[in-house]
Amino acid sequence: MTANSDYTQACARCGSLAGPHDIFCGQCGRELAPALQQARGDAFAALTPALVYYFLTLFLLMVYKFTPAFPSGFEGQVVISLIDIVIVIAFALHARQDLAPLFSVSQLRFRLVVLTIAGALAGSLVIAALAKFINISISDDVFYDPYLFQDTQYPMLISILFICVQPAIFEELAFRGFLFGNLQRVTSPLGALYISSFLFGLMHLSYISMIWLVPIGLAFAYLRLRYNTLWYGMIGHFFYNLGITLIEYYQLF
Amino acid sequence: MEASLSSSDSPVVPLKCENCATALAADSKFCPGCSYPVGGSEEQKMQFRIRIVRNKELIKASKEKIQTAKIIMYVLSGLTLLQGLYQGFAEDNFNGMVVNWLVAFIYLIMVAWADKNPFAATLSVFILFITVNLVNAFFFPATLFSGIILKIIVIGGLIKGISSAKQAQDSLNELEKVKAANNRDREL
Repeated sequence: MTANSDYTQACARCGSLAGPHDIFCGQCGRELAPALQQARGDAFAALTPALVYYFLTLFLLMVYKFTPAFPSGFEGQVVISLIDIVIVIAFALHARQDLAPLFSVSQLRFRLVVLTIAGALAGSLVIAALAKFINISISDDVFYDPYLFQDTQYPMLISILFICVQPAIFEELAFRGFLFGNLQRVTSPLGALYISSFLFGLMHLSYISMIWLVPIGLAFAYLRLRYNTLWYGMIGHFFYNLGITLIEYYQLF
Repeated sequence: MEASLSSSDSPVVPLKCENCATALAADSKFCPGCSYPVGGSEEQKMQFRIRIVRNKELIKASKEKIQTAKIIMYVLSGLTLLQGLYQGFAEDNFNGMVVNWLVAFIYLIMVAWADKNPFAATLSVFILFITVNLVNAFFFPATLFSGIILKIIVIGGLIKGISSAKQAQDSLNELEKVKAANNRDREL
């Protein structure tokens, strides 16, 4: 066989050469570049991590929000946050191989970072106004209430830490990270995008706020799917929550 | 390409795949487009065709259970809507009415989505239904057991729907991969 520039790939099983449009190896029939491997067969077995994470966290949040089991005020906020961080880290470590590429910074584009920040701040303004219009407290849907921190030494700093930094890192790591990855193994990327955003809205335990939480989740999930990174989502989430916190803090509306 | 032009005396391998009509190299044992065993035995070729038929049958079999899941979603939507009406007019609970109508609306969206992605829609309804019942149980623990038989039927039907939709989705992916004819039959 003469050297042929038409060959652009080689079979991983038998080493035969193949053309750029070939999907299977002509010699052994193996698929040349299999797309993201979908788990076949039992849906619930493949979905176990996602379902366990969702219902475990949902249960804890319900206990925190609806029962007096947790200490009230600042202390309770710290306890539930720490529990959440531990759970998310455990699940993230379990899926670390899938998550590692999402932290690559080499593909980050400055223009997109700026656009994400601008979009997040604009979004926080629009949603704060909408929430005011339908007369519902925004801090009711984010679990994190700036007034909880008023008695601490540095209320603004602690608000930012618990309301902006922590959710931006750990909610993104959970919903756009391992939950999204787990769903992608059982359904199409678009299916994973919609389900993860729906669960993101549902988990906040306020049905009305789903009206804006699901679209926010969709935006972050789209950024994760389109650019294969968690950074835009984390940056956007931080600035969105920062916008909401500042609006609440200074009573802008 | 050049090799096949010169070997005109005995074409061992047909130049086009019988299954998907992809052009083949002379020494191909499998079609590079659909993995059909062009150079294989009759038995191997038969196995390839059986795989296609089997997947089509699996899709047909799952349609019924997906339909059941869709009916369950309609019923849930209707019941939630009625509950909202009751709360709004009999109990004078405006917030409860709005929340129930919102949930009823979400169930309806899921019914529409079930035509496009039955797996994702049924899974979402399954999680939504359990979440709603858990939230209610936190406020009024007794509600967990009211209508328990109906709840078991709903959850059982949804679980069957999820598994069947997954089955159908797997089979569709497989058919798409092997470029089976009429595989665009996406009406699940």
